[in-house]
Order: sequence, then C-alpha cells, then structure tokens
Amino acid sequence: MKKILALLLFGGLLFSSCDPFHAKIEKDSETDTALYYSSEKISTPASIPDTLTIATWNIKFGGGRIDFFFDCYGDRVLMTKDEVLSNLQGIAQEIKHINPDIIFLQEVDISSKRSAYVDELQWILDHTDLNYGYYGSQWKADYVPSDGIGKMDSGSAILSKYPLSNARRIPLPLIEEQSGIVQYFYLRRNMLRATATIGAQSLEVITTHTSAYSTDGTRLKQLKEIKKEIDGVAAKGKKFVLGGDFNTLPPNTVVFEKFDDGACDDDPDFATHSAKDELDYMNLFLDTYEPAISQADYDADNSPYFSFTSDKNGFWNRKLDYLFTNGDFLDHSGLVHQNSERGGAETMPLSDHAPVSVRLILK
Amino acid sequence: MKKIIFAAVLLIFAFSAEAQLKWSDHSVHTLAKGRKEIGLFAPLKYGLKDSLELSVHPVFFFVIPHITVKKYWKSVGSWELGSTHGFAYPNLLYKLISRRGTGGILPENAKIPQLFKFNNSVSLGKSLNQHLDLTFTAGLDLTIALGEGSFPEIEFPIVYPRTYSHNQLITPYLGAHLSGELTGKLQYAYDGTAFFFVRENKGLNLENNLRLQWNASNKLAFRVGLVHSYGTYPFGKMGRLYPYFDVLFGF
Repeated sequence: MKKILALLLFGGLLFSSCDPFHAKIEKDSETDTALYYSSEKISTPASIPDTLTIATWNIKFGGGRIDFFFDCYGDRVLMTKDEVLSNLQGIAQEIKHINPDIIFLQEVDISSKRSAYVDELQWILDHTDLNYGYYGSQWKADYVPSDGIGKMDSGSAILSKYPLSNARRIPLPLIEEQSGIVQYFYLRRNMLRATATIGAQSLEVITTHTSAYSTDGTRLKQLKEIKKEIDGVAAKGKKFVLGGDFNTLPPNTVVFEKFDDGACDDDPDFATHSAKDELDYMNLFLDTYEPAISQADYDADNSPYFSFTSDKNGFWNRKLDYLFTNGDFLDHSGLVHQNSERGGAETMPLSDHAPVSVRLILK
Repeated sequence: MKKIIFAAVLLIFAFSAEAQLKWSDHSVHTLAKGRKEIGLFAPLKYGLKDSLELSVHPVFFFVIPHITVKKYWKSVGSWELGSTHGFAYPNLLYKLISRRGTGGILPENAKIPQLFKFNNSVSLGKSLNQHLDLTFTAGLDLTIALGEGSFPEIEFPIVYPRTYSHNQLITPYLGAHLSGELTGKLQYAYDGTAFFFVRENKGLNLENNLRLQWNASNKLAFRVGLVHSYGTYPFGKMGRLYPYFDVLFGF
C-alpha cells in the first residue's frame, strides 16, 4: 500500500511539473502577479498639492539607443551591466527632471539576460524621488529559446510618491494568429492597476502596453478590454488615470504608413504595417475621457505630440503614448518631452519613446 | 490499433521470460562485456570489457563530439572503486544554436572561444542488500577555452551547472547515488549532486534526481523520473522541477 501511495505521489509530482519554462504568468492570481516595490529611502511629500504630475514612459528596458537586432539597425542582443546602469542613469535624470508624482513605465526589466539581470524598477526607485511601485510582468520565461534572448522578466510598472495598494495585473487577450509554441514564449499583454492614496483622496492608476505586431485584430480586443475596465472604475464613481504605450495612432494622423525609420520593412517579424484601418481605434477612449493631449491640438499639428521613433538619428515620427482621465487635467498641461525645446532635456538618446506628462487637478 | 497494443504486450511478456541482467546505472559497476544499451534519449552505452564501459550519444555526437569512459577498478575492503572520464567539444553545437529566430538559444553575434571540456570523477560504492546500492562520487569539470570571446551563459537548470566551467575553468561536484529493487522488476534510483561554483557568481547548485525503472526484460526497460534543481544563477537563486521519461533498449 505504501508503495502504491509512493507511486501515486510520484505520478502527481510528474503532472505538477507542467509549464516547464514558467512562461504562463496567468496561472497565478491577478493580485499575486502584481509585485510590490518600495524605495530604499521613503520620503513622502509633506503636503498634498492642488495638482499631481502624472507621466508615462516606455523606457525600452534601459536599452537606450544601442543598435538592437529587432530595430534592424544592428545585431546586439545582450547588454553589459555597465551599459544598463549608464542608460538607467539618464532615465532617472529625466524622471527627476519631470518630477512626477506618479509615473507609468513600460518595458521595465527586473530579471532579464538582455539587461544583465539588473532590477531596473528597484534601481529607478532608489535613484529618484519616487517611493512606491507595483510591477506586472508582460514577458516572462526561464529561457526564451529565440534570438539568444534567454531569461526574461520584463513588464509594466506604476511608480508613485504616494502609497499604492490593491494592485492587480489584469491579463489582456493573447495574439490568436500565433502558433501555440510562439504564443507560449511571447509577450502576454496586460493592465496593471493600483490605488494611489494621496492624503484623504484615492486615485485609481492603470497602465498598459498593448500588442505592437498583431494583424488579427487582437489589439482592438485589448483596447476594448481596457475600455471596459476603466468604464467599470468610472461607474463606481472613482477617479482614474490611465496611461501607457497603446501602440496605436490617434485619429487624423497624417502619416500612418511608410515611416521614415522603417529599417525592418523586409523583416516579417518586425515590419511596421499600415495603420490606415486603425485610425479610429483610439476613439474608444477619446470619445469618453479626457486625454492629456487634446485631439484638437493634435489635429492642428501632429508632430509636437509624436512620442516614438526607432531611428536615433531621426526625429519622433508617431504618437503611441497616451494619458486619460475621468477627472480633469489642467488645460494644455499635456507635454511630450521630445527634446530640450519641448520638455527641457534631450530624450532621444534615452529610449525609442519620449515621456508624456500632464497635470491632474486634485482638489 | 488494438493489434499493435496486443503485439506490444506480447513482446513485453516474451522479453520478461529471460534471465535478468543488470542495466546501466550511476554505480561503480559497468555493463557486462559485449552488452549495449540505448534509450530514446539516453546515450548508447557499450560494455567493452567486464570492467570498462563506453558511452556516446549517437545523435548529439555529430554536433558535440564526445565520449565517456567508465572504469571499474577494484574492491577496497567492503567498498568498490570506479571512475569515469569524459571529453566533449561543444563548439559545433553552439554555432548551430547561435542564431536569429526560433531555436536561437545563443545570440547570433556570440563570440565563443574554442572549448575543450574534460570531466573526471571517482566513485566508491557498496551494495548493502538487493534494495540498496550506495555510491559516492567526487568529480571535476574542466574546460580549456582557447581564443577570444566568452560563452554567453545558458542560465537554465540542468544546463547551467554543466556549462559553468566554460567561462570559469572548473566546476567541482560531489554526488550520491542510491538504487535498488522495489518489487521484482521495478527499481528505483536516486542521484543527488552538488555542483560548486567557486569562481564568478559563486554559489551552489543542488540536483535531486529520483526515478523509477521497470525492467520488462534484458532488452526493454521503461523509465520515469523527476529532477529537482535548486541553486545559484547569475540573477539569484532558483528552484525548478522537471519530469522525464525514457524507453531503454538492451542488446
């Protein structure tokens, strides 16, 4: 009988060893997959301001403008620790310059081979005035057996001067056109949501980073899920700010294909598709909530609001990054920190995205 | 389909009628002279003499030329002494897996020096009864790296401790092997191995490998097992559990 029990135990252990690369983030709960962080030195603001500065920035895993293979400008896959820390230094400097009360970051590596295993979220917390953070993995695997990428844990984060709580990582639909094996090792998009407590007030803060390369309508499904989530928050009478890299152009964008940074046009994995049929996607949000950059301002002139380019020698050529609220942003306080003239610092060397900031009226 | 299953069952019972020979394991004992074993995944083993066993993997050999020799030396009191000696040249394999896209285990631009890996170990074993054979092993991985560049570590359980010496010259290890009969043709085996990372990224990796083997006959055996690996990696500590199975053929 003991031997049969031992065999059963053995068999049970066998079956429990699924997901050999530990890539299925969703097998754990929404709360368990939102990881809490805090700065080594907490310095909470002494008084509650009338407005909060909120920002969003895709920091490209601290890769700066190194010529990576996926940009098709070079063949780099892995960085040295010195390179990562040097790039993070520039990112922290820019964050201190923006001085946000809350910032959403995308493409933050916390334990990835490509970024020499530096916990970038902890490093940024320890080298800025931000105190608290939550992290949700977007791409996680013990080993990604493609392009020499290796171990990966990269995702989105919410960083705040004020305490954060009730965090959840909410999964978004996966790209259906991918084969099972590719999907298993691929990015798993999500929303990361938390509650910021600013004095007596609560603010729901939500960040996201939607699919870049799907052609099967997955991104639209993801955007609808995000809309549903914030509609739910608004319906409960709660104030929210949503921000992130939506990988989607606004309506009335003049140039929506054949961008001047298209070095990957011959690579089916990384080529940029025409966004002609997607230009109404962001109306989901623009029709209901207040954006940091008003649509009227964008319609008047697209270029001051561009926040992305893969060509470090060119200029920002499209808008992918957004902030929305069901509260009130201070009029015309939205700013894309493109360079020293628009934002006060040169951000082109720091990431393939420029940070976007806005002031939220609190009282 | 039913016919195939019926034939397979008949075959297993036919094999079962033979006298039992000892299957290869991690004890000091070697295969009987002339006996060969191979698995779906396990390497080909050949008893060159009653005290000498050769081992190569027939598929991997062409991309990672290698050989392992196991030698039974003598009795030392109530204990028995054996050793293993291996060599591998993994560069062909690493070149194959340094690529863009799927299957790119290593970066395409990796500059890997010429690697010559040697493995030597000494084992002391003792058979307490039919239910327990005990073997202790001490070994050393040594990799001579010639030329410029470095090996981009594969920080994955099972692989990392066996490639640590590529950049760090040596990996000493200690092991314990227990095996024996559970019931008739059903055997168990346990291997515990501690790899010591004594240079950069210092630390330890512990592997526990527990398996069951049903020896249907001298010619056919089925193996299922679990290996648990816990240890230090360049990013910190990690523990992982993996199941495995194999079908072994002896002839």
